[in-house]
Formats: sequence, C-alpha cells, structure tokens
Amino acid sequence: MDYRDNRMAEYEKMLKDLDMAVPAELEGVWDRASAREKKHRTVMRFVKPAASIAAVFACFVLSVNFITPVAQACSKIPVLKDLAAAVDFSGSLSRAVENNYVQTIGLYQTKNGIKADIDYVIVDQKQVNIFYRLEYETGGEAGNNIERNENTELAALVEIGKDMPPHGITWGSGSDEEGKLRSVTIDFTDSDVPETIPLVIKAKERDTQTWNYAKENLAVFTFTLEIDPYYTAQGKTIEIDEKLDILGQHFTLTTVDIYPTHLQLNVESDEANTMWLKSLSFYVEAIGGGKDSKLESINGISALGSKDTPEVIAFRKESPWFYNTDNLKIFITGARLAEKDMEGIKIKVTEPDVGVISGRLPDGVRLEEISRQKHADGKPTVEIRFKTVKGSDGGSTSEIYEVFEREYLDGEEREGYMETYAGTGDSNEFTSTLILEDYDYDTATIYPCFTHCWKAEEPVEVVADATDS
Amino acid sequence: MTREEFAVRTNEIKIKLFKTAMLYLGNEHDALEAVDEAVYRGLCAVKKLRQPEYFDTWITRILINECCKIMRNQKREELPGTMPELSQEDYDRLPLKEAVSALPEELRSVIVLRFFGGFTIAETARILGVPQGTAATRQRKALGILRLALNDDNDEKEADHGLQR
Repeated sequence: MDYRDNRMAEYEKMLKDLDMAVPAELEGVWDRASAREKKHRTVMRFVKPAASIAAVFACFVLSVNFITPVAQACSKIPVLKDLAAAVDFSGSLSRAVENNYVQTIGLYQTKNGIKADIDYVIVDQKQVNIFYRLEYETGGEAGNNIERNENTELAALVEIGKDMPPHGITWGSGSDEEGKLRSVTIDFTDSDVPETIPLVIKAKERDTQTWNYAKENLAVFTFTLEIDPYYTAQGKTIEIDEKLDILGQHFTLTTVDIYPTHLQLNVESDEANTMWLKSLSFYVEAIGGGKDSKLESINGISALGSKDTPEVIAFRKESPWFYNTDNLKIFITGARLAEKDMEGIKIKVTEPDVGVISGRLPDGVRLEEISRQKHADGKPTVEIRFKTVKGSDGGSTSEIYEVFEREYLDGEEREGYMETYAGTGDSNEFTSTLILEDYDYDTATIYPCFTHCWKAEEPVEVVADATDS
Repeated sequence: MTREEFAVRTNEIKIKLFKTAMLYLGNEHDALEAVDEAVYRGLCAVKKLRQPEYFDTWITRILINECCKIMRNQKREELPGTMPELSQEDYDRLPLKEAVSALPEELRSVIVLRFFGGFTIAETARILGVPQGTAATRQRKALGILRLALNDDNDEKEADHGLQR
C-alpha cells in the first residue's frame, strides 16, 4: 500500500469515526437552545430600582434586539472580543465597543473562594456600564472547600456608595454565567457621573428556578472605580422646543440629549392637562447616518420620571453618537397617558364571580385568568394574568412594559407590594402577571400605570438641528 | 424564517454541525457545547437572516465562530506563545487527523467544510466569507500539505470558471 492509499484509508476511517461519534445528547440541541432563548427573551423580572433612586423612577423595557453582526464585527478587535459579546443586547454599547470607546479597569479581588474581576467600563456624562466577572476559585484551600448547590447559580447584587448623587441601577442585562462578563448600568439622573465611584459587589446564591436570592452573602467585594475624565465629559444637548398635542393634552418637546450610551428626549407638560404623560413612542433617524441610522429601541432604562409628579418626562433611545451626524429627525408614533384622577381597579380573586368588580382596565388590556395556589407551607398565592395588545401605544411590537404598579390594596384596604412579571409570548399580545404572595383575601385593588393609549395615524416629524443650537 | 422553520432546519443539520465541531475541537464535550451555543445564538439572531435558503451556511458560520472562540480560550489557558511552524515532512509523519488539526486555521476550515462537512466549494466560500477563488486556492494548498488526493477537480474548475465570469 503506497503513501496515498494509507492517507485515503485514514480519511475513510475518520469519516466512519465521525459517524460513530454522534452522541445521544445532540437530539436535545433544539430544546436546550429554545429553552435558553425563551428564558432570556420571554421573561423579564422588572427589577426594583435601588433605594437611592427614590427621588426618581425609571421605566424598563426589554426589547428583543440582539446586535449579533455588530458583536461579530467587534470580535475582530482581539482585546475587546469578550466585551463585544457581552454588549450584544445594546446597539449603543456595541457601537461604543466597535469604536474602541471603552475604559479598561483591570481590578480583581478574591474572598471566600470567589473571585470578582472588574474588566471594563463604558461611561459618559450620565451613565456608567460596568463589566465584571464572578466565579468560584478552582483549587486552593478556599476553592476546594466550597460546597456548591446545583439548584443555585452564582449571582451578584451591585450597589454604589450611599453618598453618591441620585442614581438608578439596572442589572441583569447580558450574561449571568459564572466566569463570563456580566454588566450593571448606573444612571445618574440629576448630576454627571462622578470621577470616583465606590462599588460594592455582593456575591449571592440564586435559585435557578425562582430567581430568589439567598439572604446571606457568599462574599462582599468593595472596589473604587477611577473614571477617566475624558469619558465623563462626553455628551451634548440640542434645543427643539416643539409643541405636541395628544388626546387634548398639551406637551412640549424641549431638548434632546445625545450621549455615547443613549439618546434622551426631554418633554414638559402643560399644567392644565388632565392626564399625565406616561410613555412616548418614537423613533429617531440620524440624517446622513447611513443604513443603520434608524434608532427604534433601547434595552434597560427607557424613560425617567419626574421627582414631583407621576409623570414621565424623559424618553430614551439607542444613541446616534457614533454616526457622525448632528442632525436628527424624531418621529412620534404614539403615547400612553394616565388620567390624573384615575381610580384603582378592584378585582375579585376568589370564586364565584372572579374578575373586575369596579374600575376600568387600560386601553388594549384584558384580564386573562386568575389562579390560586396553596404552597407546601399552607400559604396561598394569587396570580392575576393580563394580556396587552402589542404596539397599541404606537410603539414597537417587540417591546413589553409594566402595565400595573406594584403597590396594591388588600381586602382590608392595607397597602401591599407585589411582584410583577412580563412575557412577550408569540402572539400579538404580551402577558403581565401580578403575584400576591400569602394572600387570603377575596378582593385586591390594583393600579394601572396608564389609562389611555394613543397611536398616531401618521408619525409626527420633529427636526432636531444641532447647527442651530 | 419562523421559529418552527428554524427548529426543522436545525434538526436537519445538527449532525453535520456536530461533525464539523468535532473536527475543529477534537472532543465530544466541546463539540456539543459549540453546537449548543451556535444554535442558541442563531435562534437569537434569526430575524437577521434575510435569505432562508442560506440557513445552512449561515448557521455553520456561527458554529465556526464558536469553535474558534473555544479554541482561543483553550490556547489562552495553555501556555502563551506561538505554535512552531511544521515542515512538509512533519505533516507527512503525522496521522491524517493530527495533520488536519495542525493546519493553519484558514486552510483547516476549508478541508473540514469541504471533505468532512460535505459543503460545496461555493458554500464553503460563503461560510468563510471569502471569494470562491480564494476558497479553491486554500483547498489546493491544504490538500498539497496533507498530500491527500480526492476526486475534486470538477469543483475546482467550476470555482475558477465562476471567478472568471
């Protein structure tokens, strides 16, 4: 047998070996991917903002908007390739990475067999995105003594120093996997990002099914982040001053702020209005910005509320910062409003006659089902599920939002606080689930986040021209 | 492409994906991880697939990116430094499997996709994001290094012809 015959025999054997090597687990590849994608896509727990944001409230939106091609492009930058993968939930952050707009930090600590690394920040005048890793140590005395519970995952709660200016913290975007980059976003609402930020990372076990955190911390890490002043100087404001009437209510689009991490449209309302503005649906075109210049959504904090009223006064989109354009067209497509004197919605949660007793459900919202479960500890839980027509506020059909406030009144008119979840589902409606834990009453009074939806027949166009500013 | 279509197409190609990943990574565990990750990432990005007829090449491209990512991580965990370059005699002494593994990444990709993945030269070029002529040249070079003769002349002629047109 000559040399080439040997090679061909080897080739045929390799083909055969490959056929033999296919494992049974391959059968489950679709189920695993589907379950993982659904976990990431369909369920978003609305994270309560940190206590320090009490003066300001923030609205959260989860949009199904992975920017994979951008992330893949970024992955060509060797140092930032892991970061590129971690920011694929955000168009603005992906473009920031693509443009090398990243400050490397490189801090780490090890405690109780757990290692915390802070690798990068993406920061501008108003927002800090911190990218960090958390993992169990392998080897060593501490690493070998760790008892790991397979029903829990290594999670983190991130806080910043109590003496920091008013801010909101959003965590949960990006990966939550051990050893991979995680991110937390801190928005400074009334002031600029400070140049030094004391950061606390509390490593905790979290139940993989319920997502409940353990009370005890596995380890607490305290870091001091020194932010490069170049980054905290980045941002600009364009004057607009355009009037906008919605359902007989008068508003003024005052300014638009552009930062590398986001765009923010600021709105003022007429004092004579009978409704609060709760949400504004719009998209932005960066003129001359190229084919990707339509900015429709943003993950994480999508709007900011007033300090003094229940009104929402600032609305965010992905940033056109890296588009090399100063001129923007803003297209208003819809809104959600709430009557200032709206009343709560009283719901009967036990048989018979389960359903709405009094009050009006918001536009586009219907009650789907109420279920009652008794746990092993004997405590009953009531779940109330609503469906909301996607896009009935003129917004993207891929967006979900909070429909009900988390405060409620129980059967004895005492105030309580409930968990709310939202899921996108595959239909033209999304689901909002309200969970009343340990609830033994027949009725509950809940409060909608809005009462009316408005969808523009034609988008209202507003030009923001930086050359006039 | 709908979610259901994605599921069907994934089931059709999963064995091919696994074999491709095996050839890149050399062990079942890593290959399965790469396929899982590729299918997940594909599902997340499926709305961006404008031409469903290119699903196979598109998902394979994602898979190869995942394989490369795993290989780079493994290299990072091993010793820093560069791999020594192999001479033709070194390749001749290696069994085929190891000789394929030792090929430079851009040549190995062509061999894996063409002769183990069963992709045509046009599909291989699309997966790797290179012109067909480049894929054909890489194939010739890789086969020369491996000194493996396969009945592939027709494909190469077609590729070269396509390039001239």
